[in-house]
Amino acid sequence: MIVEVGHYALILALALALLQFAIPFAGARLNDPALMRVARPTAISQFSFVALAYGALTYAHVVSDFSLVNVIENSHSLKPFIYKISGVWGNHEGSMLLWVLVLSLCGALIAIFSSAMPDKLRADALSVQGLLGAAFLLFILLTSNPFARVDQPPWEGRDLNPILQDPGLAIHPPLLYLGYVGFSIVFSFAAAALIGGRIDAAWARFARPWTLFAWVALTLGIAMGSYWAYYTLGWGGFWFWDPVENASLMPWIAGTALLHSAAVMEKREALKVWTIFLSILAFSLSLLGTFLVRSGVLTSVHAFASDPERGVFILGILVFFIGGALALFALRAGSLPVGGLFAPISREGALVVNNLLLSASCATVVIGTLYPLALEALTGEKISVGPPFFNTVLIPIALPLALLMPIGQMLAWKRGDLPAALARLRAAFAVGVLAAAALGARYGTPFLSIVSAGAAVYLIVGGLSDIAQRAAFRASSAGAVFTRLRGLALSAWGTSVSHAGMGLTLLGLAATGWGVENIVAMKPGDYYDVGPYKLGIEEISPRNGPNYSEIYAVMAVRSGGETIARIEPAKRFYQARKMQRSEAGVVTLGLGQVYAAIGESHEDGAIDARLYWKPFVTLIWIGALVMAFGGGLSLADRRLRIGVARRAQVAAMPEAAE
Amino acid sequence: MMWLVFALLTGVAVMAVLLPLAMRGEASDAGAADIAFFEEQIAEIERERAEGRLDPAEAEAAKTEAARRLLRAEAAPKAKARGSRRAALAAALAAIVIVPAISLPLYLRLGKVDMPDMPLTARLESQPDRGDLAGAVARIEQHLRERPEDGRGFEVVAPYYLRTGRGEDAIDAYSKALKLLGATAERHANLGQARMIVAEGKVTPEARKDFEAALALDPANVMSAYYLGLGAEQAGEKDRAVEIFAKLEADAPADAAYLPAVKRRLAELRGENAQRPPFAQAPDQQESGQGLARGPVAEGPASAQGKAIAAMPADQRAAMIRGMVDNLAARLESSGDDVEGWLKLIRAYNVLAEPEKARKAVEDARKALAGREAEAARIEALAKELNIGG
Repeated sequence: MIVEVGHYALILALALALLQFAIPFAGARLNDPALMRVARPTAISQFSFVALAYGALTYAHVVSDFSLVNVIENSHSLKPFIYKISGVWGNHEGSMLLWVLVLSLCGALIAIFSSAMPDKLRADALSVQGLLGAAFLLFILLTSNPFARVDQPPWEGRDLNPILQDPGLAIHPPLLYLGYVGFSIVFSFAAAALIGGRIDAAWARFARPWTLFAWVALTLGIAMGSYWAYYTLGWGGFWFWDPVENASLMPWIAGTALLHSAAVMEKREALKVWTIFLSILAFSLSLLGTFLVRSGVLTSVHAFASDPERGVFILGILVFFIGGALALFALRAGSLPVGGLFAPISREGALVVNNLLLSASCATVVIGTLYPLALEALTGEKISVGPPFFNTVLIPIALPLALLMPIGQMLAWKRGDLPAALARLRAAFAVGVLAAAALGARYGTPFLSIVSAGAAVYLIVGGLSDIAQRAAFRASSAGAVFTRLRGLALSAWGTSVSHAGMGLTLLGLAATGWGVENIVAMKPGDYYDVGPYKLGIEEISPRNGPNYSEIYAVMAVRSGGETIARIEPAKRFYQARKMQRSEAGVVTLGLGQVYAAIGESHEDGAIDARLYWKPFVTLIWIGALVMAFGGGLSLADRRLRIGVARRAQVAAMPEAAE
Repeated sequence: MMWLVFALLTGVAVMAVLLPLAMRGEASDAGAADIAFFEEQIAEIERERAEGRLDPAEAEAAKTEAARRLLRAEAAPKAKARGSRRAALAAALAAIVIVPAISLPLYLRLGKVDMPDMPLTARLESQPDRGDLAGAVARIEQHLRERPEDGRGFEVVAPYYLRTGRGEDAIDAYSKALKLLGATAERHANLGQARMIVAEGKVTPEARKDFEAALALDPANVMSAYYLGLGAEQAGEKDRAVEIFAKLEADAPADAAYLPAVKRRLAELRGENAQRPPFAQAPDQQESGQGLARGPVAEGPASAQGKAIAAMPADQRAAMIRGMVDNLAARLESSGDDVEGWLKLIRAYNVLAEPEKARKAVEDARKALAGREAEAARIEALAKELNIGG
């Protein structure tokens, strides 16, 4: 009964989503408060019904109800409990249901946290959110119904794709979806502003926290996905410029730009139209990503199943919402108030430069992702646009961006003083140069790694020195510095911490150039060099897991003749799907990692192995965590933001630019 | 009961629309939110200055700017929101009609209202259907997970595993039965045979050990002796193979079913007759009749398996292919929505020149893929191509 109730609840959610679209929309046009009031309870109850459906599907997976096609195809009675839960979204139908669950959650969140919002804006925003929900619910029910059932249930399921049987599956998709779909909130706000034809003063104040929220989730989701790929795929890569990865990177870059332009809009009432445009863009790119991943245009572990009918349906949704929003933008943007003008040398000016560079990066990724697809569709020719393209184009954009980030932070709103800002960054620059020299002397070429590492260190020091200088300025005692640090606005902390996090990630990326790789047939007992360490196999044995069998090797990591750690890379075989999957052995030493994966065994007892030493590699993900933490700090700052201008004579004083 | 729950849920959905329509309350006018925002902003600036975070001059500048915006907001033309009873009534009516009008027909089309939940444990505990072999095995497996010391259970499921292509599981079950129930010649022989099937017909050292153990317990175990003979043949020890088969021939009763197979092996080994006997016709002293043909499985990497098959003598190869085809057919019988599998099976029957079976496979595939047009179309296309309309 639970299953069918869930199915019915999903259909009711569709009906409610349609009403959530139609009634408040009519209300906003008729200026009728009663109709507009319908928006909030329908949004909340739509979420409840989707949650009910989601719960029912989870129940079916947990109790191995093999009368559901979705459970047959993706579960197995012996699958560990955690994967029965996370396996719900480890397939096409379930992941779309999670998508809609998050979408309706966003609607419910708007409904709950919008008391201060003008009625019309709220009604229009929830109306757009309802329309989005209706489109995707219809997609699920008509093409990807997770509640489809069979009359003769089999006794065993086909198990979940082994690559997905990993704790990563429990974390990566929900975070990523919170990020993707979180941008729908800002999209709905933007569409509401365009439909209503006015941008309320508080618009940016409402939009910015949601942007931050989505951005933080997306940052964590991408980082998690990259770490997952790193330790599962077995060759130590963490980013492949795969279209599916790019699909998540595009909204992230657009979201980063949006975050910064929304700050300008909130404090200075400028860049209004541009911010609205970025709001549309960020979610449009999320939709594009969903289309690429879900339509089967791409073949990858994320695609699960390809079905042309689904592709066409999502393409329809995509065209309708992106096209509709852009058309609305074209129609209304001209009549929107433009907002204030500002001097080029100012915080606002720096943020515009930031936006330009980010937009260029975003366009690069979009082109690099779509061009091969378009070419294949038109001419049938398969080309591969990979790391060479992205590295060549993005590095010349990213490095200047890194150099400009601390400068922007140092500039005041309205009127900035560039020489003073540069003067305050002298120390950071010096530290960066010294670090580059030291790292270059220690690790050597490639040159790009040395330059990037120097820029990264400069970025970290520069990001934090803003906070430090503000606290230490003319301070008499350590106590005074501490009081100042506490007195600084959380959003200032957020900026510094996030920028420093970006620096950490950049340092980790730069250090990939210094990695060491050793591909050998390892004989048990012999030791092989990997960077500063030696690795040797102590034991190779088979072992049985709940739904797989594996061969694992116990490897000792030695430094100077002493064993400092043991890792257990393994090769697993999943009986139900007859699939293999490797499990890398990873140990973190300092900030770097020793990474080993095993392959085929030889007759003479040797086993193929790929051994890596990756200095500083953990910084890539630690940096992302720090960035997200900075975003969280900024999110926690609930003050109203006013861009305070400093008068010219006090411009040299490093005081709060809040 | 089900419909009661549905009615309740529908009611909740409709109420979510009706309640806000019924509530009274005036809407704030459009500019009010802006005015409130700027007033709050000015209050915030005051607060910050009082806490010493803003210096007075900055605070003054910020306040002036906010005040300017406040004035602009207050001066903006206002449209007074007004409620209309007619609009509210229309909306209420729409909700009452639209919610059931969408949900019910759509659910009747997509849902299966009479179908209960079917959690696996409940199904395993329920009364088994007659003839539902897979269900019976699932129940035994469940029982074995709870009581893994029950050797008889393993002995029962092992042949089923071997037949349905789960060779590794069969080896596992036979070894457990052997360990738990004690060694007999028959158990050793069965385990050896399972190993051999998984190894694609090769008598591996492990399998040989099992056959030897079986013979140690019962020197008259024909199956073990025969397979040891084959093993010797595969290892190139022709004399030993001849010795084993000759002894089998000498000891066999005149009407033994396996005698012709043994004679053919001997003839082959002695070079008297070029025609090889089908590998699959292993002498089988058991009634269950698990010939090799029913079992061989082990879907290893395609290329490796392909090479192994290609390297076999012709008769063994035929048996191997036969076994794989039977196996595929058995699998499709239990879960038929694998279009690639059907296509493979139909082609295989065609190659094996068994038009009857090919036609039947086409029919079965049509049934199994009913309603999935794209996939059914591929079956039709192949049937047409091979000229087996069925």
